[in-house]
Formats: sequence, C-alpha cells, structure tokens
Amino acid sequence: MRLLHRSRLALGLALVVAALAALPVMAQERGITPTEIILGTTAPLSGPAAPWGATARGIEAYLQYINEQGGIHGRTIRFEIRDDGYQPPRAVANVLELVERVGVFGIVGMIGSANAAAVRDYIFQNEVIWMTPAVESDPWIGNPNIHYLFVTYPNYYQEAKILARYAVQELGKQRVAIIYQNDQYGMNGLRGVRDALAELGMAPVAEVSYELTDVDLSVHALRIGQARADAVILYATPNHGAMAAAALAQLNPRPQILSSFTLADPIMARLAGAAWDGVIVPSYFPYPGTDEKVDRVLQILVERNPELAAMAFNALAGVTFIEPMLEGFRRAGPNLTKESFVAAMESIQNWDGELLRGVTFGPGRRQGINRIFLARMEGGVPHQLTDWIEYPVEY
Amino acid sequence: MQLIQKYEEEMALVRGWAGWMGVALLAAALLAAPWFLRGYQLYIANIIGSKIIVAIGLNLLVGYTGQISLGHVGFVAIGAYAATHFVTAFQKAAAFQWLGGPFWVALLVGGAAAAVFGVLVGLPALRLEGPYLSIVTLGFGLAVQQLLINWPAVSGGRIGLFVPTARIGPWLLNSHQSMYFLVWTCVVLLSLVAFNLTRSHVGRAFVALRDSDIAAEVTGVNLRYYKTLAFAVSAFYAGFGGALEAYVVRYLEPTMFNLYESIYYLAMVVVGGLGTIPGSMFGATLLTLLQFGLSQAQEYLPVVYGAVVILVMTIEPLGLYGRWLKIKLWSKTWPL
Repeated sequence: MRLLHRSRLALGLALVVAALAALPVMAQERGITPTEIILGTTAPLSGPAAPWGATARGIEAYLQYINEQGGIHGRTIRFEIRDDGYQPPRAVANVLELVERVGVFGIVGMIGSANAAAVRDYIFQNEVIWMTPAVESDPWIGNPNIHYLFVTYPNYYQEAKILARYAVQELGKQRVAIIYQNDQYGMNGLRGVRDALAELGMAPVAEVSYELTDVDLSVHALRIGQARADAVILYATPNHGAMAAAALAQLNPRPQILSSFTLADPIMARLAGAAWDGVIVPSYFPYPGTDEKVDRVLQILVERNPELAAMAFNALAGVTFIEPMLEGFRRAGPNLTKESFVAAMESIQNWDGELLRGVTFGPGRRQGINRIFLARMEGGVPHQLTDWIEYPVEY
Repeated sequence: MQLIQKYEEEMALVRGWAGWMGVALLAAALLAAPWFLRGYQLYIANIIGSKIIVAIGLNLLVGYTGQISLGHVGFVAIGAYAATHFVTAFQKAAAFQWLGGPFWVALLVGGAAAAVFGVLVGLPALRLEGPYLSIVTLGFGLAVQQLLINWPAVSGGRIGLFVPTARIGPWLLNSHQSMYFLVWTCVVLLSLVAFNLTRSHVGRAFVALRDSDIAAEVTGVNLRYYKTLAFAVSAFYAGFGGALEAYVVRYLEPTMFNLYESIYYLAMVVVGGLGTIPGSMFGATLLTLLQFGLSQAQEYLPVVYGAVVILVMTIEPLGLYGRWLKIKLWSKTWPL
C-alpha cells in the first residue's frame, strides 16, 4: 500500500517536472501559441471614469467578430480585460498580472494619463508591445524607448492649434477664448491654442479652467461673455462640455464653439440639446452615419454587445486602437514573433482600415496618424466642413 | 486550559506553545513568500503591507479611541508626497548624492508630516463628536486632494510625480522582492509598536476615552492630550503607509487619494474588527486582495466587494477578528 503511494507520488513529481520542462518550449514568444494570440488591457470599468470603459468593450466585441471569421492565420485572439477603477496602483497590478501571469503578447489601449504614466517604465523595460494608449503624445515625443509602441490617437496639442487657426483664418473670429479641464488633457489644449494664436499675433481673450468636480459652469461662461469672445475652444469631459455649451448658449451674441474630438460622440447632442447645434468638432475617423464601412463595424459591435449602441463613438474608438494591430498580425504571417510583428507594423504605409484611414508607421515612426477633419454638428448629425487637415509627425 | 497567575502573563503578546508555534509559522511563511509568489503577487503583497499600516493607524483612532475619520486618505497623501519630495530634494543636494536619498528617513518624514496635520485635525475633535467630526475629517480629506490637484509644484499636477527607487547605500531596492522585505519589516515593526501602545497606559487612556470621555477625565485622563495624541499617532501610521505605497507604486497622482479610498480604509478596519490590531491586518488584507485580485470580475467587482463586506458584517459583527477568536476558542480542546 505504502509502495503504491510512493510510486504515485513519484509519478506526480515526474509529471510536474515534465510540465515545468515543457514550459520554456511553449513560452517561446509570450502570448503566442499555434492557435491563439493573447492580448490584454486594463480599463476603468468601475469608478468615476466607467463610461470610458466602453472602449475595451468595443475591442472585445470586434475581436469576437474576428474570431468568428476564423481569427488571423489560424490563430484566434483572446482578449483579457481587467478593471482598474481609474486607479494607478490597480492599473500597475493589472499590467503586471497580464504580462507575468497571463503572458500577453501586447497591451491594447489604456485610459487615463496617470494610469499610463504609472505603467510606462515597466512596459518599456519589459519590451511589451503597446498599442495606442489613449493619452496625450508628450511622453512619446523624443522618447528612445518606444520601439514596441504604436499609436493611432490624435495629438491634443496639434488638434488645438488646428481648431484655433480654423477659428481665426476660416471663420474670421478675432476674439478666441478657451474653456479647459484643469488636467494634462486640458493643459495640452490650452498650450495649442496659445501657440497657434501667438503665431497669428494674437492671444486668447480668456482662459477659463474648471475642475472635474465642478457641477455648474455658468460662471465660467459669464467670464467668456465678459471677455466678449466670439469663439470658444472647449477641452472638457462630455458632461462638462454639455454644461459649458448650454451655458454659452445663453450669451448674446452667442460665441462659436469648437471642441476637442473627445466630444465627438453623438451622445453630446442628447446631453446638450440644441446648444450643441453648430458646434465644430474634429474626428480622426469618419463618423458613423457618414461612411458605409464605419456603419458596418458599428453594426458588428452592437450585434455582439447591444449596450454599445448608446456609446457608439467610444466603442468605435476602441476598435481604432486595435485595428492597425490586426493588420500587423495579417502582414506578419503565420510565423508571428514580436520582431516580425514590429517589422510588419513598420511596413504599414498609407493603409486604410475599416475605421482608420491613411495609417502610416515606419522604422522610427510610431505616430500612425497625423490628420483630422472638422465637422459641424446639427441635431446630432455631423456635416463635414473640411478635408483632412494634416499636422506634423513628431515621433 | 492555561491558568494565568501573573499580570505579565495576562499582558503577554504571545501565549503558550501554540501561540509561539503560530508566530513561528507566520514568520516562516512571510520569509518564504518571496520565493513562492510571482512578481505581480509580490507587488500586491507590498500594497497590502502598506495598507495594513494605514489600517492599524486608523484602528487606533476609530477602534481604540472611538473617534472617526472619513478623510484618512488626506494623511496618506501628505505622507506620500512629503516622503517623495524629501528624497528628491536630498538627491539633488550634491553633498548627499552618495547616500542616494535615505528612504528610511523619508518614511519617517512622511509619517511625521502627516502627524503634524493629525494634530491640527485633532484639535477640532476636542469639541466635536460623531457625525460632526466625520464631516470635519471628510472635509480635510477632500481639501488635501483638491490642494494637490491645484498645486502642481507639489503634486506634479495631473502629470503626476515619479518616485525615486528606494536604496540602502549601493543596494537599489528596484525589485518587488527587495521591496517586499522593506515593506514587511515595516509592517512587523509598526505592528509591534501598535501592540505595545495598546498595552501601555496610553492605550488604556484611548480605550477609556472611547468608553466615556467624562469618566476618563474624572479618573485623571487628560482628554485634550490623549485625543490629540490619538490623531497624531493615527496620522503618523497613515503617512508612513502612504510613503511606503509611494515607494511601491513609484508614481503619485492626486486621483489616487480620493474620497473612495478613505471609505475603503474605514471598511478595512470595520470588516477586520474594531479595536484590534490583528483585525486591521485581516481587514486590510482581505479588502485589498478583493480589489486587486478580482480585477477579472470587471464591472462586477464593486458588487462582489460590497457583497463580501455585507456578508462578513452579517455573520460576524465583530469582524474577521471575532471569527478568529471563535476559531481559537473552538480549537482549545482540539482534537476533541
């Protein structure tokens, strides 16, 4: 009896050893098996920024569709989502877990400058593929560690410059003001507006900041009125953007609002009502309702997760984070490794996806897009105003 | 059954062979953990350690002294930022560069800075009680966060502040493993201090204040001194824990110190067991593990978290420590 026990133990040990020995062979390239590619993200699915978690849900639904089509080169894509509640310490734990336990090939997206900043060094040191963290571009410009980073997210600073120039040169506005959120995002907008106006020999007539915790922006709007601004550039969250638009609509004469692309979601027309009519908003991919391919993607997402219908732009933005990565997988072929993936991504030149258009990467180029277009919102429906407006490639 | 004959025996931290066995096992487990846990698990263990220190401090205030704080995260933030700025300033001073910024001093600076504010917040506590005190402390916590947001010179604004790596001479504590030893050494030391504090006349004065401050004053407890002291000590623990967490995460940003965090700390203390040091450890461990370990639950995390808290409070109003006492009692006649 005891003998039997021992032999069982020995067998068990042998199995464990065999399993351990097999590990390094299987784990040749982290996150890639013959049948699967493992990707992960950490997103605010609970807590104050939960609505932005829709980007992760958008990616999830789109990957479900890709897997239903048979995946890419015989590999399906597993997407691991972790909740960080918009808290940097938890985002760090999630990324560590995704890389070290789950063993992901890459991290897709990431919401919040703070969360991205907290994990940045770890991701760079461990040479993890990182697709489009949805944050400002400053940390990447001039950074030598971004070999495994690919970004298709507009630059707030450049966008603000384009908005300010458009207000002055195309709309003939002489008194430009800005309402911005007092954080990294808003500050980038402020910098862009100041610099663009300075180039034209002007300066903002009012710079009004608000806090995330503010629940009323009517005083802020009054300051715009006092400064007799005829155009206001807006860097705000959807809720604050709607509040600001409603308050600005009370002014006489009513200033022209130009807003950041983060307020491009049609939900703005519902939040702000008629006050959102006439607002000029940029986008970095065609609006749903104006482009067949985009509509098709939205339909794919909503079929798989009906909740996304209410958050169309955010869900689609999620897809823009991952779309070029999927093209990279296609180009890298069946023999996928980290380096073959990077080479494949660098071969992407002026590529049109379902959502993104004109994506270009290259050796030493990690900024995938460098253009936006402007549209005027009427009753929640965008009317395109300009063709693509390009801005410099900086990283 | 053990017959206690002397006062020293009654006061002993560890009693009997079973107690010493338990301590030895715990010590062995803590020492061995770095070889069994993976990198991210060690990181979570380090976060747990820093939260335990904050929870112990809060329990000294809430559980022992009967005061309330809904703004404890304010002290945590003050400790974290004070320590970080101290180390950064130290590193910049050319004469001290070879020291590389002594983190142990930084941890104490973090604690001390928070303690100073603890005294300030403790002063209104002399006149306020219950709901009124909770509003004052709530305001303090919110004010600290808002101040940080609007004072970029201190907080680095919303860009955040990167915390230098802790080092002892030439030894850089840049791995989770080395941080583990630092954090848990601090946890053990500060737990011992807390244990001893609660067994001393200071701890008795705290408990007397909690049970009836009038009766305590009549028996000679200086209300003004001990209430303020309770706030100072509690804030010191919070600041120290905050400084440790800064070293663990290596990044600070004002949103890390929001109102929710204060509530979580309070929940740790209540779920663990009010007025007990081990309870603070149980509570901090369980609730941090839930938050960090269940990130796969995604949107359902808050629901799971809430359900566990309700469950623990329903079946064990004395908290996890109460359940632990019952297990100990039951096992006294083991194996029968």
